[in-house]
Amino acid sequence: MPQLEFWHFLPQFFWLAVCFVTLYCVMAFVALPRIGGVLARRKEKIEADLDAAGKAEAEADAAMRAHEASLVGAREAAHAVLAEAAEAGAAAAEARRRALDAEVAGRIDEARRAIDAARAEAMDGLAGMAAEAARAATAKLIGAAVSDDDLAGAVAAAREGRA
Amino acid sequence: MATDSQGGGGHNPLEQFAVETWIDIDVAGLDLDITNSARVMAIATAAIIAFTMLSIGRRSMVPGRMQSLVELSYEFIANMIRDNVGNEGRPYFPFVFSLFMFILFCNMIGMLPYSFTVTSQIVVTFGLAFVVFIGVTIVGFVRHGVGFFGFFLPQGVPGFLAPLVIPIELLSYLIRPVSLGLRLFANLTAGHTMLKVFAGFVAPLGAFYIVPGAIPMAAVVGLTLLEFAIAFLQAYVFAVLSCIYLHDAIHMH
Repeated sequence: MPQLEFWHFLPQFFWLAVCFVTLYCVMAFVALPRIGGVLARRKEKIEADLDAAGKAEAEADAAMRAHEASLVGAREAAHAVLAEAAEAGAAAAEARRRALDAEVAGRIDEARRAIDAARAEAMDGLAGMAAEAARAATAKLIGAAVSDDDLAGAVAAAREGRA
Repeated sequence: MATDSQGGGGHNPLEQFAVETWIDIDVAGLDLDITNSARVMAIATAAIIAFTMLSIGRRSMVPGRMQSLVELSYEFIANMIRDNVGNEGRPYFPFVFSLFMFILFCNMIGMLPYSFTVTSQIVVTFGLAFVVFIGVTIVGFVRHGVGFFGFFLPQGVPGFLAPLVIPIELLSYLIRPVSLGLRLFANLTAGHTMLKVFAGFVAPLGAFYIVPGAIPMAAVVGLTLLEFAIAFLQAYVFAVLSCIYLHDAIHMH
């Protein structure tokens, strides 16, 4: 077995030691810290990005909530304005209706009074006309002149009787 | 397939493991030749350094293909240490990472035709295993002082069993580097020998008739796939076992 030839043990071991120590030193002091640095930097970057993303998401959520809240507020305000306007409108309509009612009632009263006055006047006129007619009738029929008092009394009696 | 440069069938399948001097170096009477094995180790080291440094060079936020691969290996070993050792294992991360990458690259370079499989060299695998063993033992004593000897008598074992348990525990502790080094060495050596044996059948049988030549050829293809899996798996096993030994040294069972 050529591996067991003694002469090459020392030179092989010597160069193994040289190679391995060199390799170890380069790995330990240069290469591995570099690789580790790259990995650490990437990890940091990813974590920072994730953090930023999380923050942005939270902000977006907050904005969304604020937006919804303002939407609800606006809706409520709109409802309030609408209700107020409706109330005001109703009140105004009621007031106008009442005013119109009052006016109409006033006019009706006035008209009724006028009618009453006209009727009373007509009635008074009727009594006078009846007395005149009765005087003329009695003068024509019996040729007697009836005094005003008697005529008035007779007309009043007739009206009383009819009434 | 670590086919040696002579190539061709009929050669000894173990010839691929032969170590040859490439550059002759003697320092103060010590033979420090750069061999074909040392050359591949240097290539593997350079390849790992290039792989980890160049592909992370741009340090992109969004990694490219090579950078992903480097990050994947980093996290793979980091998770292995977290799972097997815990947070106290952090300081040993560069060591386990270097160990895993070194074995993985040596195994993979060994899969290239005409290259050399360093991890089939018993000196190399035992060297790595003893580095782990000695390192872990030092970590244990630094962490627990003399109390680390308590490792050899698990809690809850009745006193009269101590003469029996302590030698067993001691032996199982001391055998660790041997099993660790031997496992890697044996897996790689056996796999590459088998590849070579089957590959050696292809040409002679194929010259005889096409069908008998195709059978070992199919076996070589299958074994090559298997060897790639083993190349990764053995690097993984070596690293995981190192982590488990570290865990024992830090947490005492």
